[in-house]
Amino acid sequence: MQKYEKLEKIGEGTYGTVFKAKNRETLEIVALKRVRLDDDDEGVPSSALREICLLKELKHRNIVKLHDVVHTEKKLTLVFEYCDQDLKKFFDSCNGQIDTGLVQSLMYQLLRGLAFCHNKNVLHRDLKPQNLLLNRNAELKLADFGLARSFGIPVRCYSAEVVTLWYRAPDVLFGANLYSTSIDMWSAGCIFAEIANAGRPLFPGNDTDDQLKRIFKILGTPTEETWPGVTQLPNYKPFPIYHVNTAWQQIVPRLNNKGRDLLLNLLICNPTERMCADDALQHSYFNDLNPNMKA
Amino acid sequence: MAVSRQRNMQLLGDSQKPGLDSENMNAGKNILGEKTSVVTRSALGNISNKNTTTAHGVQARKYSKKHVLTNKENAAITTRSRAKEIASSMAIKDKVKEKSPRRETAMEVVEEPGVVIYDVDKEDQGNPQLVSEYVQDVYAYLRKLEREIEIKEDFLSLKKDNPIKPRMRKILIDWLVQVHSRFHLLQETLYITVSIIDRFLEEACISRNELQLVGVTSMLIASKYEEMYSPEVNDFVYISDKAYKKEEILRMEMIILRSLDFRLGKPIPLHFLRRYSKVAEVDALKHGLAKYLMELCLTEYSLCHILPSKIAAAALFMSMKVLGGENAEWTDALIHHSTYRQQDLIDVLRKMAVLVKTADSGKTTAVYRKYCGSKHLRVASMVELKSPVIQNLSRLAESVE
Repeated sequence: MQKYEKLEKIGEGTYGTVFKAKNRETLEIVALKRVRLDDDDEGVPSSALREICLLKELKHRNIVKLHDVVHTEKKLTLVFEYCDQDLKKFFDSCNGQIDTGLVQSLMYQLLRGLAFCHNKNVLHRDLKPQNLLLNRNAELKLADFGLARSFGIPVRCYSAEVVTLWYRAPDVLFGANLYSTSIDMWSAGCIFAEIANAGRPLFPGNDTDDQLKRIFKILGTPTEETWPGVTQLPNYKPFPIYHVNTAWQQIVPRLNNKGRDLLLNLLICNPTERMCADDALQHSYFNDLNPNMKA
Repeated sequence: MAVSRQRNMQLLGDSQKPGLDSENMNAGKNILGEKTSVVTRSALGNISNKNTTTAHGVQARKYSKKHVLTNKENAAITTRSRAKEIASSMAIKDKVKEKSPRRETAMEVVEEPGVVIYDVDKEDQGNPQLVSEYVQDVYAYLRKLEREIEIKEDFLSLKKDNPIKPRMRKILIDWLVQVHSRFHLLQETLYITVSIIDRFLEEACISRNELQLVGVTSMLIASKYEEMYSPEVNDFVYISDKAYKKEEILRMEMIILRSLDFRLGKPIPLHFLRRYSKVAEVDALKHGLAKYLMELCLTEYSLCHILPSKIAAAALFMSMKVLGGENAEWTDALIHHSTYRQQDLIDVLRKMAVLVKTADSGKTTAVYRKYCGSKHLRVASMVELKSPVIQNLSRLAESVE
């Protein structure tokens, strides 16, 4: 690890600490994620193992680049491309203001990175602003694949304990362990609204119940009619039927009609109806996106 | 030794009867420990169990409690030297290996004009588990990926004086099939394990003593990658009769991961079979028989280099023939989705037929016994597999060659 000069601690990932560092030879700035390996431990943590494996495969401009994996005595260091900040920190610097063109561009990049993952049978399972990195050119990169995994078809049961609460889909909140790419699309919808509001989270719930209540108050409580099978989910419980006359202009004032339409297609409680990333990229909301962005 | 081993196998067979199947592996190490003693195996010498004259081989052939002690001692004494040995003999060359030009095993399928392929995913749009939006892309990607990480034919003989022989590989895989059942792991995990082993053996040079270590470590890695709850390292220490220490497994884990450059996402036959079975609309029995055939192929060294998509196609085709009559057809839809024509599968079918005929004989019968179980619909003991269909298939295959 003599190759890198540690500059400062950036934060904590799902496993291990992240540092900003400089490559002594090339002077390139990188991010180092350190994983400790103790002999009385279980070796390489499965989250690190999956993250490395998946990022070795997923090479895309909207996915954080894994340059190298360095193994030294008792340590495994993942060397990533460095990004100046994550979306959450960016929000903090927005002071409640954000350019509509930027909203569009960020959302487009998020969907493009996500479509790439889904096309290569990878679920991210932990999308949130902290895990979306931004560099100085406002390029967005999906990061922290510690909870990600590749899926088979048909998709098998996976852990239901995924995704940070605020970005967790209602089917997963009800305990569904059979989920698919739609799980990431819900998170993308929540993040879309949050970007449009310059960092105000859409559903900042305190616990599972509160989370579901917040969702249903805005989108309406699902029933067997609107979402066949919902009552059969492992942790299903009835919620009050909320009257839905949501004023979306007030919830996401900066989004135009097309943007609101895209948002509503992502925030569909029934996972089978939720829009997929490929379709979302084709949505008319992006018609007037800067052509350089689409290239 | 032969007798005691046979008894061990029987014990294992018994424990796979229904009722015990549902036994929870997570119930704790004690249960695991007690039960697993029947499959623990220090393969060391056993894998090279034929006329081994080395000190190791002779010691290891005593398949008894004493032998465990011997191994313990061995391990203690040789840990250091073995560590060095690993370091030197397995030092993964940093220099990039020249990859031989890729062989084109799957032929381009030129579709006849006018052939209409029914959209098999059309009705799945309401079922997110079938990911109908992505299924085409995903399979195209898997086919690309399997070619990127292809194993060379007869890879063990590519290295001069390689102490690892095909027969040892077979014994190792046979044992791992039992360990896999004992740990109640997902089917994917077994295929990934074998894929890791083969790719590693193709890259690295190891001694016989380390073969079993490579085997259990590969299963550990595969479990971490695929399972929701992976067995612990100590479970693997136990299952290999404490032939290796925890630290040795952890060290080997890094060696293997670096050798494979952390690329574990190799597609497995199971991914493809599920697709083909859906296209062919086969029943559970045909699908189950195909799974048995694919697992038999895992143990067969001469099939290691065959692409997973092709193994799966051959397995399903043979299953359709065995259970659906000789006239079962490899349809246009199957050609389209698998990219293989009937004649492309002949070589694999022939070897598969031989595997079926010999599955219940010899020393490596774990797959056969596993698939005689009710959990697997007892497909391995079906009379259809004794019928002339298999004979004809192999003969047909031979005549076409």
